[in-house]
Amino acid sequence: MDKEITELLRQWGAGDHEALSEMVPLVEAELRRLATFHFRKESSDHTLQPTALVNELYLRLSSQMKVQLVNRAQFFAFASRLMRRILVDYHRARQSSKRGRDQVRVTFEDALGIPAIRDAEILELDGALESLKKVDPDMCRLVELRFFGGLTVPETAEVLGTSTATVKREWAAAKAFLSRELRE
Amino acid sequence: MTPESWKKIKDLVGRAVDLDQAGRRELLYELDEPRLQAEAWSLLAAFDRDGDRWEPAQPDRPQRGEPSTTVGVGDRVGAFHLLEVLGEGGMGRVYSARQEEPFEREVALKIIRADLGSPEAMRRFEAEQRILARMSHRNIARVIEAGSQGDLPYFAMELVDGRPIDRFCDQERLSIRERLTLFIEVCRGVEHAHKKGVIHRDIKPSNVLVAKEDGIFLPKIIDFGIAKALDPDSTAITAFGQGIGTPDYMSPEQAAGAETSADTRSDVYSLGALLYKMLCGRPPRDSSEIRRHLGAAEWLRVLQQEDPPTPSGQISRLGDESEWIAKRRRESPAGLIRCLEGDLDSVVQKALSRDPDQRYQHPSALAEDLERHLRHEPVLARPPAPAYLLRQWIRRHKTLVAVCVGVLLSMSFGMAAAGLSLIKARKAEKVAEIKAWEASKEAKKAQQIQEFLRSLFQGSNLEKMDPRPDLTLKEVLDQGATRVRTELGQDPLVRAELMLEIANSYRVLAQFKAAERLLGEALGIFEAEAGLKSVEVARVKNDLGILMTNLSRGEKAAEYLSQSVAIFESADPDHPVLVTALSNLGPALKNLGRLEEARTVLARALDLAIRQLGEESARVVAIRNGLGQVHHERGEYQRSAEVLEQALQTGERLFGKEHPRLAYPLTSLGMTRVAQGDRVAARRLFGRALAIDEKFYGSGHLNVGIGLANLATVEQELGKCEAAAEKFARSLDIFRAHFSADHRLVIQVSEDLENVEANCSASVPSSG
Repeated sequence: MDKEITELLRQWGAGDHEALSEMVPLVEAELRRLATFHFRKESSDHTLQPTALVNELYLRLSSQMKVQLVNRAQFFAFASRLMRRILVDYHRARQSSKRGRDQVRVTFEDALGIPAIRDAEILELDGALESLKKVDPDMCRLVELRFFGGLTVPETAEVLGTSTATVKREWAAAKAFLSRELRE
Repeated sequence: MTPESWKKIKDLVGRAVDLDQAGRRELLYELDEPRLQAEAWSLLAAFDRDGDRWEPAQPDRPQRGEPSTTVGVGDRVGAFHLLEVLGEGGMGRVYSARQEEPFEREVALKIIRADLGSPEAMRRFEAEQRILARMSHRNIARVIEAGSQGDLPYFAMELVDGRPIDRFCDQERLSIRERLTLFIEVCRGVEHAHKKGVIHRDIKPSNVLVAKEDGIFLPKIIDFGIAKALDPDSTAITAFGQGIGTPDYMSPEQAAGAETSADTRSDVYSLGALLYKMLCGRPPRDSSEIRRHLGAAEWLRVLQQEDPPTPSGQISRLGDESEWIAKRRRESPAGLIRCLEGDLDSVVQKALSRDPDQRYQHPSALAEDLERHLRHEPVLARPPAPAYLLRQWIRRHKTLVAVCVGVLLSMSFGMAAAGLSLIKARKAEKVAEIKAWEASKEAKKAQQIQEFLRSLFQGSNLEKMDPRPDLTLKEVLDQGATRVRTELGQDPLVRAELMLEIANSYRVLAQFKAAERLLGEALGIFEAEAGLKSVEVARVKNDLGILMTNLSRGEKAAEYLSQSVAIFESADPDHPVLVTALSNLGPALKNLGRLEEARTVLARALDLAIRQLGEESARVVAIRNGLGQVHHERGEYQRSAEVLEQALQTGERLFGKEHPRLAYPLTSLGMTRVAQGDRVAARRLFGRALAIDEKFYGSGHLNVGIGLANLATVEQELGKCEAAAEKFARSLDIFRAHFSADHRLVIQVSEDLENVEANCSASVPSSG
């Protein structure tokens, strides 16, 4: 599987944009595998950062390619978007299978170090991001990177090709937006 | 929302989040559309409320209260085997854990953040366990063990499989009655703990979990006594609470950091706040709400910090959202408001009193009042007493204004009496005397009022809540003046109204410059918004007239007051302030020597006052006093005496024989009797005035000094040298205490004293 991804990455790096979309199911599967693995581990470092997850994938892929992956930033953005999708799916499944015990919050997010958020909210968040995307696709991306991707401000700035000051400002506005849209 | 306007908004919001309110306001001015401004404010409010929850945990940043470096799922802590993470709280992480000894059961294990658990804290912790173990109540999650492993303190508690009570009520769509029943149980639990000597100190929705057991809802309070155990002064908790937790449920005394004074009644406050949230879906002090309603409401921010809106008031302010909130209570918004109005509003208000003494003293008292309500019996919580209501800023202010009016009235008439006090003084000198006396008396009155207000403040713990305990009344007014200028955008008339009131207060505090500036601004607003000949303009001009009198600018005073009177007469001849303006204009004219005009004006004032207020009114007494002085000045002593006798008689009927207000007509009449040559009568009248002033103001008061000088002058003329000398001496002491050595009154009375001592042997009455 890794080999396939590597090949697609190479094509993508060479300018083949189709390669990225072909890569989605593969990278996603890989991320899911990694996440589940870390989640199950339940060991001393049970707070696993999504960044670490994405990083791990990145490192593995680039070591296999023996080269620095082209467009590292885009890869991170891409992986973050997948994280969002993974979480949403996870919650859809979880919501239909699980009821009650609100207080128990050993969740996927806990393991990923994502701020605790209720099941229903992940889906609400997803909806809110969809509507945000229509007015402000850049901010939507920023939320994916920061919230789902767990990227730091400098990393996010790097990915988006902008300054950290701008990211901070945008992120603050995004937090305000999300807080209002997902009012408790 | 178009992408363009969104871009504008988000840029400003992004820049505004780190600013304080004033900074934000300034920044958001850039948004020219009110709709966009409202949008930005609502975003900022949401950010303040829970913007932080979106922050991802950063691996490179040390995490607050991250105990997992040493323990985690799978590890053993004491006799407990950690099973899974239940949640993350302000004080640490909660795990479900299995206890194997002495018997197997599942518990909730709270592991306290390392930075909160000093060795000392842990000792207290273990000591606290004994106390906590005493509690046994179905509504309290039992503390099984408090201990520590390494440097990690932990609490093992009964595992409650429940939801936070506010969320539970909403999700289960509980009616108000059902909510009350549930809440009463919570009170019972807290009461039990209090009887065992345990205060919770951190009651809030997330610490009251409701479990559904066999169709029965059972609320259980968790974390009892933990705040205390961690730190008896709870400063750490308080500081921490500011960082992440919500201060919405914290009592004022706790929020002020006066943790040592936190007692059972602090829990009562938090219970009240919890009840508030359960009833109307909002915590009592939702800062975002205030921000959204900028303008008049923002101006009243101080007020709102003191007393939150009633639950029903909260609902009616929420607009569309009330629909949503009511629905979760199986009500319509109107139905919900009806349900909360009256009893429940009062009960909540009482529980949320800022002064602990005004609250229910025990959770059981709160519960009992709610039970009374459920039984449709009258509740004990009554609308707060008038004195208590004064704590609200505007009320406080209105009282201040009422006091001011009284002060100023008595002053404008009284000062003439004082002027007359120095019988021998020539007219030009007299004016200077009046001014000096007036200024000092003004200051004295201001001090009294300030003390009066301070006593109100103390009663209400306001001082504790204020950012600075030494906040003076003047500073409160300064803040008020700034805010009324900058924050009250929408309604210029309201703004000008408030300026007027603040200006009046400034005047009483002898801050004449500030008062003049504000009155000038208010006048400008009223002239532009209400019209040059509006009663509002007339009112401001009346105030300006009084101010000019205070500033000894007699001509200007008479000018403003004449204008005020003229406008009232054409705009609204029955306006109640017209009498005031006339009453002020009379003495102003008299001081300028325009006696005929003064007489006409006061005669009109008298007619009007009698017509509007009746013969038997304080105003009529004061006007007659002024009129009597004008007659006196005109040399019409007989008429003066008649009018003053009338004033005196009415005053005695109204106030009794010993009221301080009687001192004025007594003194005035005394002056006239002197002029008529009846020194015996004058002596009696001055004597009475002096006795009243001494009794009312105390023997060192300036009024007493003046009364003594008056009496002494007459006694000297009656040849009672020793008595006169003694009184001049006392008078001099008082004046020296109030004025510098070169003050005219000091010089005058020392001369009198020398004079009387020198001429004591000559028992011939002097004509002066």
